[in-house]
Amino acid sequence: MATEWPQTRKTGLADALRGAREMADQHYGIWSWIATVDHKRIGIMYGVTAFIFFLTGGVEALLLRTQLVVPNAGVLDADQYNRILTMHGTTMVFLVIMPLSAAFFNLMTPLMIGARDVAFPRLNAFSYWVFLAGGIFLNVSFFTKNVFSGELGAPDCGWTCYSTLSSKAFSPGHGVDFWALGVQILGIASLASGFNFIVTILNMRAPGMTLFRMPLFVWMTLVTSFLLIFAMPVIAVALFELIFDRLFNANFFNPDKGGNPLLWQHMFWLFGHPEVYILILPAMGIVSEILPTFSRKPLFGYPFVVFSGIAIGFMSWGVWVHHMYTTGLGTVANSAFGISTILIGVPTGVKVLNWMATMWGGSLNLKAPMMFAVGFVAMFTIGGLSGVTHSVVPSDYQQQDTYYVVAHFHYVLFGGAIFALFAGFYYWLPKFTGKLLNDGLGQVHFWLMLIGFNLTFFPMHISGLLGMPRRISTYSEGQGWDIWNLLSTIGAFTIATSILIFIVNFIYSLRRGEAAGYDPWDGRTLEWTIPSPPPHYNFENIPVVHARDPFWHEKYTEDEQGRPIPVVAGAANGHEGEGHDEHGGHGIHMPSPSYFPLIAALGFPIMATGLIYDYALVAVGAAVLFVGIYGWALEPATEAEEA
Amino acid sequence: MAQAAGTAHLETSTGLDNRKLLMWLFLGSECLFFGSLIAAYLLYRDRSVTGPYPGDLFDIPFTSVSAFVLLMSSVSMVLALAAIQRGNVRGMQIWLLTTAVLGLLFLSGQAFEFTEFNHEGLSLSTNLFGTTFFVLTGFHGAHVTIGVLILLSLFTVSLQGRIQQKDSLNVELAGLYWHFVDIVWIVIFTLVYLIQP
Amino acid sequence: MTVSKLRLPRPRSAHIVAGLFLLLLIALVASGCIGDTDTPQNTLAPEGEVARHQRNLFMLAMWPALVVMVLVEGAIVVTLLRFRRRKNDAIPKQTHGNTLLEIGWTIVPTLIIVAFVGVPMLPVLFDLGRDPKADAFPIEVTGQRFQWSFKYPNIKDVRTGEPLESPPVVPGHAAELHIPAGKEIALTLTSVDVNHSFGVPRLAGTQDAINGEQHRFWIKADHPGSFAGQCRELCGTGHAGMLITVIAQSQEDFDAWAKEAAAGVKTVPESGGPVAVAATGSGG
Repeated sequence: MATEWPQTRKTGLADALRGAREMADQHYGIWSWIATVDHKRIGIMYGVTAFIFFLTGGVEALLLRTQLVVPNAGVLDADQYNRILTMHGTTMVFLVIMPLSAAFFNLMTPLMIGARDVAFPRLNAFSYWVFLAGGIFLNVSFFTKNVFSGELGAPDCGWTCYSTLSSKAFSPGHGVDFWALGVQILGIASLASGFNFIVTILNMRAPGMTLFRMPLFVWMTLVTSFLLIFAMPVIAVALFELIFDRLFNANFFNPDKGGNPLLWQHMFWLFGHPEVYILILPAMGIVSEILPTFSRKPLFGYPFVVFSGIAIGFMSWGVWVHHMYTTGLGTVANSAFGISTILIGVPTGVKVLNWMATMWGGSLNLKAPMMFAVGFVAMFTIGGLSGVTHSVVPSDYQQQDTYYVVAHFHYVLFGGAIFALFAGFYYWLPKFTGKLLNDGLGQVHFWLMLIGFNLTFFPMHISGLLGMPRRISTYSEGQGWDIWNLLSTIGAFTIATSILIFIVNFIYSLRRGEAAGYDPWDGRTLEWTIPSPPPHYNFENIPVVHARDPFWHEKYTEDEQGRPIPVVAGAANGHEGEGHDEHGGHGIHMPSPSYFPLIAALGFPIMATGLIYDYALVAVGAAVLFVGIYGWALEPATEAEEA
Repeated sequence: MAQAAGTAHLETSTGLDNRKLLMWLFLGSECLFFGSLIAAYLLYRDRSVTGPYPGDLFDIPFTSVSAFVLLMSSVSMVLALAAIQRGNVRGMQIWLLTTAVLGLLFLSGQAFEFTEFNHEGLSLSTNLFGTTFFVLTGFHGAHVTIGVLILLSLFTVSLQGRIQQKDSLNVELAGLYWHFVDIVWIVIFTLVYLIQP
Repeated sequence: MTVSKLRLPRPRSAHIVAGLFLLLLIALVASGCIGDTDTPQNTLAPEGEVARHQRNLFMLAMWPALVVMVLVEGAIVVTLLRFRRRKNDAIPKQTHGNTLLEIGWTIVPTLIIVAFVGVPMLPVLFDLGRDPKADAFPIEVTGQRFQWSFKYPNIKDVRTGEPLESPPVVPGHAAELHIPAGKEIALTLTSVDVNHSFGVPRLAGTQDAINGEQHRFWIKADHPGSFAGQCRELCGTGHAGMLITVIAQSQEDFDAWAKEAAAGVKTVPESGGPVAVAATGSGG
């Protein structure tokens, strides 16, 4: 609803709001961040917040590994263990990988498509604040019991929180309530994000940027966003069902009244399998940008990599039962999903082959971004292969709920997603900080993390095949698991050390890093055509795009023999006179900042707290939400036009 | 839902307005939401261990009338949009109000029905039928309520003269949402009330 | 291609790196094969028919997977060494792709995995998932927090006249399931509270015990012996201590045991002393 503030009614409220907006409109200070709708700032906030949660999840992992270093270590009791393992998994999935991917969606998508911001900047800010609210809400649960005497209030049902363990009868405390409501809140953030990026990518590309000229990272963002908007409603319904069972004695998962606990598993995994592709596709997108840039060759088979991504998106809906092979659904169901699971490995394999073919014959610059990207390919392949062994249904009966599964998903999510996200940090952070990260420290980080990672998770294949179940708080001697657990724990601390090195590198380079300049990596895509850090409005003039890898084609052309050579400075490349925006150099209109996304976001944790402790708070939260939404709907989006 | 640059339409790569695309995506996502709730209802149909059962409680004629009311509200919604697209603000206001009133009438019918069922011994916790029925229709009712709020908000804002012919997209978006909620009711009415195995 | 095809990688250090890497890979993989394989819950040391089928299928999938892993990782190392940027490298040829290759490496892997993984899997899956034979020895397995209990419909407890039920498990010990060796056993699994999972790896892979479901499947021990297992689905604070010992006995020994158990003769748990498990904590 594009409107002007009514000129005739100068109420005190209108003036106050205008004053607040002016405060927010400065580019410095905390208020400018709180009210920001700038995708770059939102991306930075996502990244910093998610990284802090990465550290909490990492500490949780170290606690778990310390407890498992030897049999009967006595570091954590079973109750503490179950709560920390639940929070570790929930944190890493919902508070680390998803928001780090969102950080990159935010930072990069508008730049890569030549836009000034996303389609709905305030919705974007809303997504971030809701994410922050959900993450804090979830972690507050730790403190709802007597932390100082070792009683943790966090949920303890595992990140999958199966029925009937999740019911009020078997989890009488508030932990599961915090989990269900927390994840529900986070789902809202993801949903909003998904909508925003689909509209942005479909509608806001620079002139000439057809879908098949988009960078691959943008394609993966698009597919991931579609997966998000269709998968999140399913888990939302499942969570509502769980919440209603617990709070209002509904019977969705109550076997005494005829309910089936398996319904939870079906709904969770119907969401959950697309979810794991939501976790990995952005990482694949990042790697698909870095490998070509650092090989000085285009991505091999770009259309096929795009189609594989789309195929994975579609096929991800048809494999969920492979998480449920041992639940007794019957041989027909198990075989059907066994076959579909086997087949979903194919498009993934195609991508790996295309990445390798990109590097082959290239001129490989082995800086930190490239090392992490190659590390991704190497580690993800192993995770993918153990996934293929899982798809063999009968042998999955042996692997299910053992450390073999833990090994598999850590290879794809850590060796895969996390490595790729670090690659993205080294590659793209300099664009926003203006400073390169120190490459020497980056190499140390990489090698230490690679070694630590393999030391931690490779032995889990073995302990799993030796029968060690998942989620056990301790184990006895004589099972043959001791040495593998010891190695894993040593590996975990090695990983932790490598992360410390990264943090030192990041802080050091913020102060003393080498200046990044426009294009430190001889990049191929549009983000490297603008200064580091970029101006508020991104592009002075919206570019006109003539090809895939548009910046590469600005810089390089072919000689008479078809060999690539740099374009001589000042030479014509056929695109003179283009790239002026329709305003002809007059003021660029950027979306105005707003407080209402934050206000609206606050409504959710208040309502959630109310559902657990006092229904009056639900009304308060709802009121806050409504104020936020109405303010948002009725405020003008931009200031009055500049002359 | 304001736009940057103060112009009614920005050029977009697809030609579709950003907000319209957003609404369609949102409705697509809502299909999965209601689909999951409907699936839970259908999976648990005839599995209640104790009564009351649907056959004991449903008053098909009554629910048919309230379904008809909701259907008619979609007609008035269409008329509201047609009015504002022709620049007829007054006409839009009348039809918006009509739609909201019909929506409220539908909601009253729901409230009445729920209370009746409750008196007959059906609650959220009674059995699977109570659980799945109330949650499914309850969420639908919540969506209708939000729709009524949107319509009344549009109506109120239009009283200040802030919805003119050039702002018709806002009414169109509300219309899309309203029609979707109506279609969901048609599906629910058919699967839950009409088709008894 | 403008980058020299025949240029050797930098000698010595590169070879050493590649060699070391390959050794590491082989060591990692081989590490699983050395050492004691006679551990109590080793899924790859089957002593039951079901576990054996499962192990064989796993090997069928694992070896190609290992080969692919070595090939891919090796290719990565070779690529990094061979094509790493040198000073004065020209810009490489901007190859965009090769459609024939793409089609090839989509179809061929599909055929391979369907052949190696999909096709062999189906008959085994149907065999393992068939109903137990009519003359299979039935046992009802019930999971609860935090022990397993067993009911033998074919053995009448003389004290109660009802089917024999296993005694409550002493904390820290395993629940004992007696079965006749060499005979097909029909297990029916359920739970009275939360999800559990009944896994005795050397006999058969795990199957879930779910409240409200009767999950029926067959197992068969090759020979008499004692086989370890434990609950495999997170069920609460006592999850790690829900242990199982399956005692397979010759028909003679089994009948003797059954007679004694049905008569109510107290027997010492055969599985030995307590297995220490961490304190369950504050619970809830």
